[in-house]
Amino acid sequence: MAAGKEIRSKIKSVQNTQKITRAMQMVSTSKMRKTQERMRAARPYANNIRRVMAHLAQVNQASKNIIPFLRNPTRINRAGIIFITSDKGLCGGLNANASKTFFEHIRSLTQANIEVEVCALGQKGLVAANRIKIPVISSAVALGDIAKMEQIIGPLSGMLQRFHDGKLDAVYIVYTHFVNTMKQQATVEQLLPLTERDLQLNNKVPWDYIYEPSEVEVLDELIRRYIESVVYQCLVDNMASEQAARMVAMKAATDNAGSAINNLRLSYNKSRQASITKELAEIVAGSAAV
Amino acid sequence: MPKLMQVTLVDSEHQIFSGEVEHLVINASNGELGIYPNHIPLICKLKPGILRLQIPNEKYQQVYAVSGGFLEVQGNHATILADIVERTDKLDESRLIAEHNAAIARVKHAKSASTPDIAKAQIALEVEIAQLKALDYIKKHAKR
Repeated sequence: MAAGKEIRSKIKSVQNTQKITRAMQMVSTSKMRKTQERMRAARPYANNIRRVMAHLAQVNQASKNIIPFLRNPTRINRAGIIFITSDKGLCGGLNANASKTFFEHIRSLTQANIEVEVCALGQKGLVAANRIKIPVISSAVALGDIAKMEQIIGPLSGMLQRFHDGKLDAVYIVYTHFVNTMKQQATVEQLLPLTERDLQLNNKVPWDYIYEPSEVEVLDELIRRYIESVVYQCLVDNMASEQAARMVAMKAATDNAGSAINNLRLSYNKSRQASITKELAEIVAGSAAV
Repeated sequence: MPKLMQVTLVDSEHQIFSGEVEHLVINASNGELGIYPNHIPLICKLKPGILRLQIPNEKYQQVYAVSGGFLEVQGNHATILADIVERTDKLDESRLIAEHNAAIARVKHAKSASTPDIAKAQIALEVEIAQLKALDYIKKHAKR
């Protein structure tokens, strides 16, 4: 029964793999719920800051020329991309899809003679950017399961400062948007210059604020915070996608392991049955000979 | 004339407070500001400091340590977009004092280093001081 023993040990090893994938599936299910809560928790800040900023930008049309973050370059020479990925693998096609979108976006920019530099948030994105030899000006890895604002402010401020100083003419963000548990969408968005979507207001406002210390200072700082909060939202969104993708991938792996075990068990039983039949036939033949 | 105003206190990660208050006191960039209902529209930068909310029918004010951000007042609604907020009942004095001393040491150390380091260390120190002040305020005014 040598074949039987081999199959048995194979079944054991597949069962062990199945245990691991099932555990990972359950862990990511609970983490997904938490990241979704964080996504919701961060929304009030983002909404409020957007409302205030849109109001300010609309009231202060004249300040467009003074505030660096509100400038709208006619020709883009150099662009920055913030690339958000996960730190860890085993989450299906999540990072592969994000990288594909990222590469496509870079290709379309370089075809228009735009130089590109990257700020990578997440280990996988850093590796991908290094592989295609795109200059990475800042990065943050090992972000953990709970995104913290202070982890991204550092790497982000480098890129914001470069836009502020006129060294960059546009900033884009690539991340995976959480649509639902089954669907995550790799997405490219324009962060800077601010788009109409950021600055639109529902109703016209005839009044203005009192500013302290000054309009320019407040608006400049406010836009920085706004961008940071948008990137934070994208990061949390990406984390929810990561957990959802991992959950689905691990569920598929667990199911696959189950069907592999069934197949192995079937052939094990077949070989066991075959050897019993063979032994019986030998005994019958032996007794007939006597 | 309404006697109350709506206040929303949010930081980048959560919403911390939302409700009606009689007035609030906050540390703005040009000094301490008291905001009462029907204030004219105002937007200002905040310095690290304490935020006090007078909630109707409550004897003591609610106190928060705010590390910076913005205050926006508009249509009898004040919105505080804070960087980091800590509720004072979550502050731990011994830990704060230790951190405060560490922050002072960092400022001293940074003086010999580059300017951005000094600025960073000083902001950290201001945040620590704000949290300590908040705690002091509570000790003096309210036994909760």
